[in-house]
Amino acid sequence: MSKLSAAEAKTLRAALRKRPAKELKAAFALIRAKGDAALIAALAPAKKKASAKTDPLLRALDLALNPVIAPAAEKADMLIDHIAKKRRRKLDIKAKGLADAARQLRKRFTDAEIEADAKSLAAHLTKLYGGREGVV
Amino acid sequence: MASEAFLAFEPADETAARIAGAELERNGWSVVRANAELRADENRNALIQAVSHAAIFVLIASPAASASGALQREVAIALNNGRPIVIVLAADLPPGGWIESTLDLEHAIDLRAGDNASAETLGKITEAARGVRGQGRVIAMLNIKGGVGKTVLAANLFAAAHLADKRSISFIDLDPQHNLTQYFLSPGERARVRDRNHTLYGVLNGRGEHALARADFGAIAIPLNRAKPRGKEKQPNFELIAGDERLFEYTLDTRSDQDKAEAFMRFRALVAALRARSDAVVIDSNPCATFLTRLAITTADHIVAPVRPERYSLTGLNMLEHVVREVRGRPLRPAEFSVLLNGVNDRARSSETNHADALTRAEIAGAPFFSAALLEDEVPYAATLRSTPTERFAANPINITAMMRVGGRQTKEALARAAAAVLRRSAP
Repeated sequence: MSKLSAAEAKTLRAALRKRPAKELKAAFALIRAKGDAALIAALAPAKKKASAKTDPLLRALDLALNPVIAPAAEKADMLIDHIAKKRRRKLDIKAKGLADAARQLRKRFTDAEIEADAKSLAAHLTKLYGGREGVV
Repeated sequence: MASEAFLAFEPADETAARIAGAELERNGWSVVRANAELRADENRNALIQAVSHAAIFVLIASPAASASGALQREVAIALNNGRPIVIVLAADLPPGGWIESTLDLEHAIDLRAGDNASAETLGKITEAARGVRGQGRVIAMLNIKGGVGKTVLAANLFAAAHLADKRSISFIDLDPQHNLTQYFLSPGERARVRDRNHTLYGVLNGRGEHALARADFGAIAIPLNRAKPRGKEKQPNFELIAGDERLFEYTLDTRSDQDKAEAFMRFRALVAALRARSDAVVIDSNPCATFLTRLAITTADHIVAPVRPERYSLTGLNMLEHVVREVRGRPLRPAEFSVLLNGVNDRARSSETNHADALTRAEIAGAPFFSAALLEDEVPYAATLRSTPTERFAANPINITAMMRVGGRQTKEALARAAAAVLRRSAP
C-alpha cells in the first residue's frame, strides 16, 4: 500500500482534520462505494425552499386563504381536496403546508389553475362558514 | 364510591333483592340495602348521603314497588343526584304506575323467574353496573353570577385537554343564549343544524314536530375538530350538542310539568350516550337558577365555577352552593366542586379593581367551604380569550380556540394545567 505524499496528506488534513477514526472509516467506505457525481451532488448546499416572499404563487395562495383561520397544513389539505373534487382528479398528495402543496400541485397543474382554485375554495368556504359574529 | 351500589326494594321483593345483591357482591360491589331505619323521616339526610355516595342505584321494580311512596322518594333522590339507575324487573308492573311514567324500562333486566333466573340474566345485572364504571365524567360549568367566562373558558379549557392530553370531549350547550354554539359554529352552520332539529331543543322535546328520536341522540353531535388525522392513530372526539334560542321555553312556565319530566329523562339519556364515548361531558349552563340549571346540577359529577377577580364573586359562589343544596337535597361536597379564577391580572378595567385577583383569592381561600375547592391553577387575562375575530372564519371550529392561535404560550400552558387539574379533581 503506497504512502501519501506530503501534499496529499495536507489536502486530506484540510478536509477531514479532527474527525474521529470511526467517522473517517465510514466516510472512506462511502467514498469507495459511490461515484464522484453522486458525492458532489450530496455535498452541494440544499436548494433554497420557495417562500411567499420570492414565489408569486405562494404569495397568491397566502393572500387568497388568509381569511381562513387554520394552520397551514389544514389549509393545504383543504386546497388539495378542493382541487381534486373540482377537477375530478384523484390526487394522492399529502402536504405539510401550503409551500409543500404548491410544489406538488405544480407538477400537475399550472400556477394560474392553482391560484384560481384557491380563490374558489376561499369563496366556497365563505359561503359555508362566513358571517361569523362576535361572541359575548 | 365507585364500587358501591344502593339496592332499593320493598320487603315483598326480598327474593329478587337477595339474588341481585348477591350477584353484585360476588362481582366485587359493596351493596347498601334500603331498610326501614334508613327510610325513617329523621334519617332522611342519611338516606340522601347513602344514595348520593353510591356509584349506581339498583331498583327492584314490582307491583309492591309501584305502590311504594318510600321507593319513589329514593328514586327521586337518585335522579336529583345524577345516579345511574339499573332497573331489575321482579314481576309484571301494573299499568299507569310511577315507575313506568318516570323511568325508561327499555333496558330493564327481567328477573321474573326469581331463583330460576339464568346465569345470563344475572350476568346482565353486573354488566349494567360495570357499564357505569369507566365512563366519562360529567362536568358542569356553572355560576349563578353572569359574565364570569363560563362559555369561553369551557371551550378553551377543554380544547386544551383535547389537544394537550388527547382527551375526548363532548360539549352540551344548555344555555338559551347558546353562546357556546355561536362560539364554535358559523351562522350558516347553526341554521342548518337548527333546521334539522339537531339541537338540544330536539332532545328535550318528547313530542311534536321538533322531537328527536332517542336512538338519534348520540348522532347529532357536531364534530369540532375536523383536521384530517395524521397517521393511523384515531383522533379522540371533540364534539358539540348545539343549543338554540328555543330553549328559553324551559326557563319560563310555558312548559307543563309532564313536558319537563320527559325532558329530564331525555336529557339523562343524552348524557348517558355521550359519557359512554367521551372522557368528559362538559355542560355549559345559563347563569341563573331555572329548570335548565336543574338539568345540569342533577347530571353533573363535578361542578366548575369560574370566578372573576372582582367584587361580589363570593356572593355568586354562595348562591351557587345554595342552589345545588336545594336541588340535590344535601350540601355540596368540596370534592364535587372546583373554583377556577379566570382573567387574573385584568387590572386595566377599573382602578377600583386594583389587586382584585389577590383580594378575591384571599377572600375565597378564607371562606370555610370554598377554600377546599379553589384551584391552585388560574387562567390569566389574555386577549385571545376575550375576542373572536369577526372578519375571518374557521371551517374547522377548534381553530378558533386560544390553543390553536399563534403565540400566547403562557395562556396555553395555563389552560392545559387548569384543565388537567379539573379533570384530576373530577376523577372518581
